[in-house]
Amino acid sequence: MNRRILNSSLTRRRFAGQLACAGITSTPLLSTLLSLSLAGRAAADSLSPNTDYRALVCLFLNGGNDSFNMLAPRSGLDYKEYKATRQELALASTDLLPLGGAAANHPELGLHPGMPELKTLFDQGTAAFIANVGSLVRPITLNEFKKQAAVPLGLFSHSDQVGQWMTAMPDRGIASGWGGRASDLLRDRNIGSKVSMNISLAGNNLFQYGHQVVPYSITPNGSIGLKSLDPAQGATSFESVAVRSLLEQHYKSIFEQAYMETTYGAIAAHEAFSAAVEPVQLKTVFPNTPTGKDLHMVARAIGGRRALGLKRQTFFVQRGGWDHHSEVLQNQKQMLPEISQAVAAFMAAMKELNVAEQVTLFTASDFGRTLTSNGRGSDHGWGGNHFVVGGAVKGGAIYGNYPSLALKTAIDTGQGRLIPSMSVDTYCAELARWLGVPDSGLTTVFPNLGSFYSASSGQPPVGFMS
Amino acid sequence: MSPGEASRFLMQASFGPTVEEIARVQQIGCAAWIDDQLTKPAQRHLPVLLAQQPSASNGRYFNDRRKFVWWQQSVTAADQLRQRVAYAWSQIFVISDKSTDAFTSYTDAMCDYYDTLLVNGLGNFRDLLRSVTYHACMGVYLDYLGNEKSDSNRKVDAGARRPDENYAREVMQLFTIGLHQLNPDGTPQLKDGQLIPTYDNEDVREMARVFTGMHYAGHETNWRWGPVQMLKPLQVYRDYHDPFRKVLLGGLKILPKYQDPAKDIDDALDCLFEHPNTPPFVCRFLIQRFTTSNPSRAYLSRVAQVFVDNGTGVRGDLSAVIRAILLDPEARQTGDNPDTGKEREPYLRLVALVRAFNGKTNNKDGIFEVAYLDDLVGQEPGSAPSVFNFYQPDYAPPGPIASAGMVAPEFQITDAVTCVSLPNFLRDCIYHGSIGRYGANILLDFSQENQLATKPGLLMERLSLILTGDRMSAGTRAIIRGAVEQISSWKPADRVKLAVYLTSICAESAVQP
Repeated sequence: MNRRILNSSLTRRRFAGQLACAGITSTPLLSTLLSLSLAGRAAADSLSPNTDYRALVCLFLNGGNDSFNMLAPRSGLDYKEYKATRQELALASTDLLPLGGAAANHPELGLHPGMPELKTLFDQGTAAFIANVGSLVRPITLNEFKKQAAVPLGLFSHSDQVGQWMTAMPDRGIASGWGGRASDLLRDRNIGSKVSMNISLAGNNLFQYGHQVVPYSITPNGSIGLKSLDPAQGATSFESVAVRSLLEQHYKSIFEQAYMETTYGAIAAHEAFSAAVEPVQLKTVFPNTPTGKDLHMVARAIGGRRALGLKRQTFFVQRGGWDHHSEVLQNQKQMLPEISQAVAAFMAAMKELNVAEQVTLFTASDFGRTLTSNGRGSDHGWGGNHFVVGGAVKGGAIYGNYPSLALKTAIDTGQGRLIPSMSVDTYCAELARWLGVPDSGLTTVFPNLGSFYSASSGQPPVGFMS
Repeated sequence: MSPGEASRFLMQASFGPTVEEIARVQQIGCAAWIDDQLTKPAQRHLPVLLAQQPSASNGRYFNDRRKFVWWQQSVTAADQLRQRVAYAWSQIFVISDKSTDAFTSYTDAMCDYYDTLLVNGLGNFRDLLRSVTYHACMGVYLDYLGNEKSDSNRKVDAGARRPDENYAREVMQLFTIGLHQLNPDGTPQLKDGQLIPTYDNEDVREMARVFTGMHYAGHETNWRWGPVQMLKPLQVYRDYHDPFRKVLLGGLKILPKYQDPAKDIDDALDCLFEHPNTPPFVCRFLIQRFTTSNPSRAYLSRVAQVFVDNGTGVRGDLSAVIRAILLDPEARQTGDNPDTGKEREPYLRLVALVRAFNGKTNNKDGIFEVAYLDDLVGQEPGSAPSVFNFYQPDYAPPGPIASAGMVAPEFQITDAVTCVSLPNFLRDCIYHGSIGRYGANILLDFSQENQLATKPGLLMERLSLILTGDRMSAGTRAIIRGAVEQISSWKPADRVKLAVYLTSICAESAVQP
């Protein structure tokens, strides 16, 4: 693309756009964000320039992964309960990959046989599992659930639960996500960058929307520019000038203005992104799968971090198709290997880039599924199991409480829809804290966190990040 | 009626205005145009598919073929209103080739499903709901095909098999009543300041028992492994249908034990059809697809009331509902309120371009070979990411729109990828006569415009009329005209292409007032 086309007015307009976005918050919250943001910068100065980079990669398994078959009991009474509850959906104990080093308070757990690469990462100490996580307003008992006290809105509904994993606010609708709110606090580490610190491989997502920071969408092949600004595509100078003029006009219609601002932001970011990332080529070979291609692009973008001028980033990657009401066994057999292989390649690429300790990948998903079978699959549940991978992860361990999978326990709301033993807030606060959100900012990012964790305790929310 | 008003009406009611159709609407008026459209027979998609050579020697048609057929019919069929309505229904009664491999080999069945939406889309909502429920494609997509009653030989608390809940949940949440109790004007009912759920998980389980025992036709002797019959309505098999009493929606309707299975299903669909939420829920969705993202309470009330009673005591008359949506004063007003209207669906802007310039193809089958743009445009018929469609009705893009308390569903797929890719596709089509990865050959006819190349003022008038509903601002017009006039008048075709491209990407083309 022709650099000449983009003049300084881009920056001015972008800034104006950010102010407009900032305008959606109330003034007290905005000033809180700003002062927290300054506090964050002081903390960052203690890190040396070479290591002052951190990125969180959210891998969202959209549809609700049946994660009690991803991480399942492997022996003894625990396996018997699992088998009795899951019936035809139970995996054979001999097929489950043994995970060494699990803590004493967990049953002996095994990993889905399609995920040997993840097992290797676990054994090497760079992957950990977090058991029975889900949306909670506050800790609740089965009796409270039956009285519908403090139950997340739209429980068991895909759209609501996806949203709540992203906002960490299951008691209200809100137009920002925890990744975005964390980014608002960290964005001053990225001053001068023309590209948003929040990059999405899956389009708009609430997770990365803050009050100031908004996601920038790219494809597995990188960012996309307007052909009408590109002389190589036959664009003449008067075509390009006209396009730019159309984008710079002010529009009365709220929709027209929003649409043109989105386009405007896209072309400005594309120039910077493509210049920084297109030269980055990795030796690591990624699988030719949707997740493999997405994570390959994330790895290349991380490779371009210095040219992008970004010291804190989040990435959003999504793999859909986990709503396995039928054929759950067959589908997971095909899809979990895609995840495992892509994640392993990604970790290899992080080592190649020498940033393994500065990048953490974590999973999210709508919900866990019913432990009981509908004959061919499982239905919408609540708590589920997740994994985190990265050089800074205290791996080789399982965190949280892996529950008994017997039915009619104190956490079974029916048919094996389990009340989570850890909230999304707790799980994600550990990640946000590692990314650099100061303890004083955690409740800004996770307003309900106080129901689960005291930031003044001096302890980490979970303890899986070093 | 002004030409601009006619053009704007055709943006709402068809796949895009043409000069001829604008003149016709001006002549007969919007109401008569709708009446005329309602007399036109459905131009089905399946016969167009079957008229082509199969993709493979075994007679199968690959998945891309149904997309070609969709393009062909959407661009050229005379029953434009019906085609546009079917496309709207395909975004509520979603089936998709994404997230399941099954549909990539059921191309004919997906066309047949679309035909179901075409044929019933302007009929009665209750018939539409039933025909969708009994279509094999929906049975496959939402998993109730082969759904069996509980395994009574095993105790439930010992992990007995129980019915699949997928259709039970989504037919309520997405197709009929939604998650929360609504007032007739679509606003949520509140109790102590809180939303009131329409159902809980026990209601889902009861409803799941209704949708048991449905399978392909001809499975009498072999329930599980009988023939795959994608083109015939599903049948209900008594032996696999839950025979016991069912309490629907907390007692709103009770189905007695041992009732005929088909009656169980009909009663359950009646229960949803009669539910007070269904008119405002469905009408809001439809209004958003045709006229505005944020209908006023009064507008939604008026349309929902027509759903409740078409004037002759019939509930669910969709011709009357669509008529009410398009002819409502709020849809027809051409005022200056900056908050009305909607972002045009990005995919439909491509279709509208091809219609506006009487696009033709010289592909060997004579049909448009456009497919697999969704990675870059964010949508494509029959390819939504999930049953939640490309976007949700209540999506509020963070920023000025959300803070104004407004929603804008299409903005869910409006991002740095789609905002740039769509103009690139439009440009490829205008400059190079092709779209997408097949380089689909589409020849646009600019002969009328070429005659105006030396009269840029008139050229802009014409393009503003057919591509923006005559809404182009003076500023936009000046920018485009200024660029066009920099091209020598000896190159009229170059002038016209640039003018068409810039008009097709301008804000007034992206948004429908």
